[in-house]
Amino acid sequence: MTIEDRVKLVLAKVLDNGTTAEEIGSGADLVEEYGLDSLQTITFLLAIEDEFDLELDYPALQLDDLRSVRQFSAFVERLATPVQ
Amino acid sequence: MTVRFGTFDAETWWRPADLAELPSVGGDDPAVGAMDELLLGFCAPDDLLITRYPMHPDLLTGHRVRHLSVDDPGPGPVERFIDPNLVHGAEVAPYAVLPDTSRLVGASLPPSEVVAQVNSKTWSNELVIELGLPGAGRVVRSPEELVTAVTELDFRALVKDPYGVSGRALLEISTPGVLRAVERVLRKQDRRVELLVQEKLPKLHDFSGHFLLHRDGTADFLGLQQMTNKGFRHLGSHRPPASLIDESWYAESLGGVIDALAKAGYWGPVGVDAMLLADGTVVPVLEINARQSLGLLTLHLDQRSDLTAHLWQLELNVAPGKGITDVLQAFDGLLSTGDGPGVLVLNGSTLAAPGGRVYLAIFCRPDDLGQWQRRLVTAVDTAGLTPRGMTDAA
Repeated sequence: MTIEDRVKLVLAKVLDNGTTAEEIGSGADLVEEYGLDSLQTITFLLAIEDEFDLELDYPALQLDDLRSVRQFSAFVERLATPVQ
Repeated sequence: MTVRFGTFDAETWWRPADLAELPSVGGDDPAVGAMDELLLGFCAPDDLLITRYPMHPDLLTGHRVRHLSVDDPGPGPVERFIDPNLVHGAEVAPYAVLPDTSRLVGASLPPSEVVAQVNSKTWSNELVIELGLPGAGRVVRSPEELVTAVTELDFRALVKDPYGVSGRALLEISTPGVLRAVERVLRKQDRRVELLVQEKLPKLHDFSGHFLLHRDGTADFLGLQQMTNKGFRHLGSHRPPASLIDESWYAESLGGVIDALAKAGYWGPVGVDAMLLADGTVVPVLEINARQSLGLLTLHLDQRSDLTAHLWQLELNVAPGKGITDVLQAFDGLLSTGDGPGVLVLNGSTLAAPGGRVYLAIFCRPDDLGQWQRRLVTAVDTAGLTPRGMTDAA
């Protein structure tokens, strides 16, 4: 399973409205299309930390650059890849 | 004539500055500053409404109220920018009593320190324990205590900030990984920890009970509101069906809460959030809002006619150049001030690209709500204002 597939699974769980991971498009805007509010966003980020065993720096997060699943997955991939 | 004004992020100004915060993203929501437009729904003819920003004239049409916006509002509550001559000697009804409200209005309102105290979830939880009511949580004062409390609940836990500032009010902690992340964020801040941990219970419905507590300690029960939530977020409310809960029984069960509020030195509007569990148990006090509230506003609107008033939030994507005028035009032929079925647009003067939230009061028979919501969504959609995340909103 790719990182993007895992991100979609986490997102579907947070949305909790019947939307399945398969239905979530890679380019979909999390706010405009799925109406992700601030509470759902933080729940999503905490679940991403759990899923990928990451530590996010919340005050430094620039969420405007991470609004699509594709962008967000690339961000997770960078964090999850150990620096050589 | 009543002078109405207020600050909707009241909790921000009550919250002690030395408290650690739950993890959150983004800054404060600038749209909250313009929510005082909603107070128009409380206004009777000839009332004076003072808002932070100018209001779109079409929103004021048909209300017969006097309206002013403050000059050059800077940061901080709107109360800082209101001319004291406008409130001197007048009957005032602020949304909430903040330190700035006390400075502006004086002793005709309860002291802001008292108001801040009774609005804290720590205070209401201690009261729930003292009164022996179901649903009490546990206040934790260190990351270690948080870990213990959540683990003892077997990760069926909700963690709440004592002042529940919008967007950083609560979190569900359902796995050890999320607990570790929350613990790490708290430790990093090296500030005082005060959080309420409650068991996540199998909830059937959220509702709220509303009172007006007088200065002599007597109270008028105003009614109930059933909340519509999306997850933990408030989407709207309306009068519940009689079968949901016995209104008189609920009002009586809050006698101890009213006495405690009066004893603490509070008077004014009170909204008590509660919930009905799947097994029929009522958790009568989840939190106490010793201020005006959206539930109280809906109760007020509900009294306009025999129809039921439903408060509803619509999140819209807005293209550049579009705004509230386009929303009002989209609802042409569907608008009402409560004298017949239809919709009243309660705010939106600052609505602009890329989007925002509009509060609507839908006046209709209870069974017709879904039909009205679909009609309104179709209307804004046709006007090119696409609703956000609508898959489950209705």
